[in-house]
Amino acid sequence: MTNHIDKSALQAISSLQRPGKPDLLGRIVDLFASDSPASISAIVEAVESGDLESMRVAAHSMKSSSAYLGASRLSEQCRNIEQAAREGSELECFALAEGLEEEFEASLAELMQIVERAA
Amino acid sequence: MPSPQEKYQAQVLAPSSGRLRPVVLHVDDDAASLLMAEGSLEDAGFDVVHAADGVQALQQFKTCEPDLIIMDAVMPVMDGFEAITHIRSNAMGAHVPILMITGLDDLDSITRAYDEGATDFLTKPINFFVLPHRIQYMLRSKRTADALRSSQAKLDNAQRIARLGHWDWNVVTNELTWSNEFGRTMGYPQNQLMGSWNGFLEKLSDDQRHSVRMAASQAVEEVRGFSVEFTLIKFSEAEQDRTIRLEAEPHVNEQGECTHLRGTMQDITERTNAQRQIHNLAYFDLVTGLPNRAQLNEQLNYALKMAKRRESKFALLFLDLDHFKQVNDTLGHDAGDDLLKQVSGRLTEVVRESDSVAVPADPLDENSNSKHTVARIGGDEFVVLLGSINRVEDAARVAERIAKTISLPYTINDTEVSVTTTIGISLYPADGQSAELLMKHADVAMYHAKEKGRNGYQFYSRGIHEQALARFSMESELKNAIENEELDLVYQPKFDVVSGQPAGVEALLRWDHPVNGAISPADFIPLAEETGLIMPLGRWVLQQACRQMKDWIDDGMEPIAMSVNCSPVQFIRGNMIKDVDEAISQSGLPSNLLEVELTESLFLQNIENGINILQSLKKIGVQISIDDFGTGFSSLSYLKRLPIDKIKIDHSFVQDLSRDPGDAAIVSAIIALSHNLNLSVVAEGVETAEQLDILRSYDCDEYQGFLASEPLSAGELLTWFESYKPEVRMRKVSGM
Repeated sequence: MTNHIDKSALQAISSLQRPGKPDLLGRIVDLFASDSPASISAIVEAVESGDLESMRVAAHSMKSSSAYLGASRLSEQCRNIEQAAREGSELECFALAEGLEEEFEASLAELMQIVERAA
Repeated sequence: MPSPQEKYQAQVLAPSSGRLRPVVLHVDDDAASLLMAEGSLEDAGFDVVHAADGVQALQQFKTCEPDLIIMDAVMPVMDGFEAITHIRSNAMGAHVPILMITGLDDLDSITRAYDEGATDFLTKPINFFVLPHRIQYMLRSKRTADALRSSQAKLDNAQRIARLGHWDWNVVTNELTWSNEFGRTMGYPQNQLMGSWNGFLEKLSDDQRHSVRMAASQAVEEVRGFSVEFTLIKFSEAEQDRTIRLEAEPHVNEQGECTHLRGTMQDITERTNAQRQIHNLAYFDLVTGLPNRAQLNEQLNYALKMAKRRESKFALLFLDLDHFKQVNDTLGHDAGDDLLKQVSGRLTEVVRESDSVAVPADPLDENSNSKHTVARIGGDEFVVLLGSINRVEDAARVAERIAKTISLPYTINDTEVSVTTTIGISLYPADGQSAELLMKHADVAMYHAKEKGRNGYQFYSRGIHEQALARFSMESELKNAIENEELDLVYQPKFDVVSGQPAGVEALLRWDHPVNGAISPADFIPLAEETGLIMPLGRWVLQQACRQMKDWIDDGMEPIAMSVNCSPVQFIRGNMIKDVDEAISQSGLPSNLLEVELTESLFLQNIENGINILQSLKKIGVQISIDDFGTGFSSLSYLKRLPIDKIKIDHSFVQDLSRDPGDAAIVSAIIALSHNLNLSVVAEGVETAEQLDILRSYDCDEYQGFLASEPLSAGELLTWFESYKPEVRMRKVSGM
C-alpha cells in the first residue's frame, strides 16, 4: 500500500516550505483530508443520480488537488471521469468511478502516514 | 531585511502607485493551490491576496487594485472567463496582466481565455518555482506596454496640440493609414485609422483635390518629397475652413521605385491667421484701418506692373488736410483721431463711388478694373491710387469730388469742425515710371496747389492740368449746350454729278459756344463719345434732322434724302435701331428719305454684329451709306456683304485728284467697284470744277463740297434751293 503516492510531488511541496512558517505540506494534506471526502461522495452520488455536471465539477476539483499531492492514480481517475462527464457518457462515468472511493482512501492513508512520519 | 534579489525585484516591479511590493491577486477554488503559490510569490517580492471564485475576485480587484491577477479557469459560482470579462470592461482593469490557469489538455479554455482578454496562460499542475518568474516577466512587459502607451498618449497629445498628424500611403495598394490627429482633422470616425488614398482625396473640394493629387503623383513619379497646402472646407456650420499643410517623403523598394509616401499633416489655420494679423499690423494704419505706406507701396508697384503690361493709365492723388494741426491742438488728439477716421470714411466712400467713373479698359477683364486704394501715409496725409483711369479728367473729377466731400462739416465731441484738403495729382505714365517718382511728383503738385490757395487740386504737369481743366469744363458745358440751345444743325446739299440737281442734304452739328465761339465737332464729338453723352446728343440730331426735312417737304420742297452722321458708340452702347425708328415715326418723314451715315469703324470689332445692325436698319427702310470711305481699313472684300446703298469717298482723295495719279486711280477703282456692287458713290469735299470734271469722267453719282455750297442754316437752305438754277451751275462748270 505504498504505491499510491508519488513522493517526488511531496518533495516539491516541501521545497516550497519557508523557514519559520507553518508546515506547508501538513496544511495541504490537512486541507485534502478535510475537503476531499465531500468531493468523492459528490462524484459517487452524481454517478448514481446521473448528474453529470456536478460530477464534472467535483472530478475537476479532485483531479488537481490529488495531482499536487502526488496521488497520480487518483488524479488520473478523476481526470478520466471529468472527461467522460464533459462528453456526456453516463455509462463510462459509471465504469470509471469503480474503485474511486477505495483509491481515495488508500491514497489519503498513505499521505497521512508520510506526513506523520515526517513530523 | 530583504535579500539583494528581493530589493532589486521590488524596485523593478513596484507599481507606480508607490506601493513597495506589487500585489498579486490569486484566484482559485483549490485552497491547496493558493497555499502552495503563496510562499514562492511572497519570496519573490509580491504581496498576495486570495479569492476562491469569480465573484470574490471582482471584490478583491476593486479593493486591492492588484498589479497582476492569476485566474483559475474552472471555478464554482463564477468561472475565470466571466471574471475576466468583468475586469476588462472596467477602465481600471483594461490593462492589468491576467495569467489564466487552465487544464493541460484543455485547448478550448486556452483559446477562450485569450478571447476574453487574458494576457498569458499556464497549465495545471502549476510549477510553483516557475510561477514567480512568469509573473515577473509579465509585469515587466506590462511596464513596457505602459511606457509605450504613455509615450503614444503623449505623442498623440502633442500631435493634437500641434494639430499635427501623420499618414502613410501605400502607393501600390492605395491603402492609407493615419494617426488620430489626421483622422480628427479629416473628420474620420474616432476609431478609423485606415482607408484609401482616394477616399481621403474625396474629402477635398474639386480644385484642392486636383492640386494635392498632382503634387503627390509627381512626388511618386520623381521619387522625391512634396509639400502642399490646401483649404479644407468646413464639415459643419459651426466650424471654419481650415488651412492644411501636407508634407511627405518617398520610401523606395529595392528597385528604387517609390512604394510609400509617408508624411505629416498639419492644421496651420491659426498660424496663417496669425500671419494675416501680423500682416495687418504691418500694412494697415491703426487709427483709420486704411492701408499704410507699406501697403500703398505694394499696391502702387502692382498698379505699375499692370499699367505697363496693359499700357494703361493710372493716377496718384496726394492729399493733405489743411489746418489739421489746429484741430489737434484745440480739441485734443482724440478729437484729431476721430476726425481722421471720419475723413477716411468719406474718402473711401467717394473713391468707391468713383469706380463707375473709371470705366475699365476691357470690361471682360475684371482685373483691369484695378482696385482703387485709399491709404494714410502720415499724420494728416492720405494717398488715393486710382488704379485704372481712361482720361485725365477722371482723376480731376475724383479730386474735385474729394475736395468737396472733405470740406463738408464734421461733428466731433458735439462740436462742428471743418477742414479742407489740398490735392496733388501725378499720372502714370506721363509724370513718372516709378513709384518713388510718382509719389514725389504728386507731393510736388500738392505744394503747387497749396501755393495757389488751399482746398483745390493740381496736376503735376501744367499742360495736363490745363488740358484736364479744359476738357473737364467742356464736358460739363456740353451737357448744358443742348438745353441752352447752343447746339444747332446746319445742312450741306449734295448734287447729282450729271444733272446738277440737288440729290440730298447732310445734317452737320454745330456748337456755338457763348464765350469760345464755334467749336468743331472734331473737338467735342470724341469727348461726347467717351462720356456717353453721344447717346442723347445723337438722338437729338436724328430727331431734329428728320423733323427739318419733313418741314421743308411740307413747305413745298422737292423730297430729297436727309443724311445724318451716326457714331459707332451709338450702335454699340446705345439702342440705335429704336432711336432711328422713333425719329421717323415722330417726324412722319418717309423712311427712305433718311440716310444713315456710318464709318467703317463700326465693323472693326465685330463684322457679323455690324451686319446685323445694318440689316435691322434696312428693315426700317432707311438708306445706309459708308462715310469717309478709304480712310479706314476699307476692305473691299467685305463691302459686298454689307446691306448698304452708298459709298462716300473721303475728301482727302478728292483734294489731290487732279495732282496725284495714285489718288485718281483709287477713286476710279472705288467708283467702278461700287457700281459693280450696285452702290452709288458720293464724292466729298469737291472744291474745284476740275475735280468735278474728273469725277464725272469716272461716272461718280453725287458730290458735295464748297464748289456747290457750304453748309447752310435751315432758313438759308430753303431760300438757296428756291433760287438755285442747276442750268446756271452747269453752264458755269462747262464754261471753265
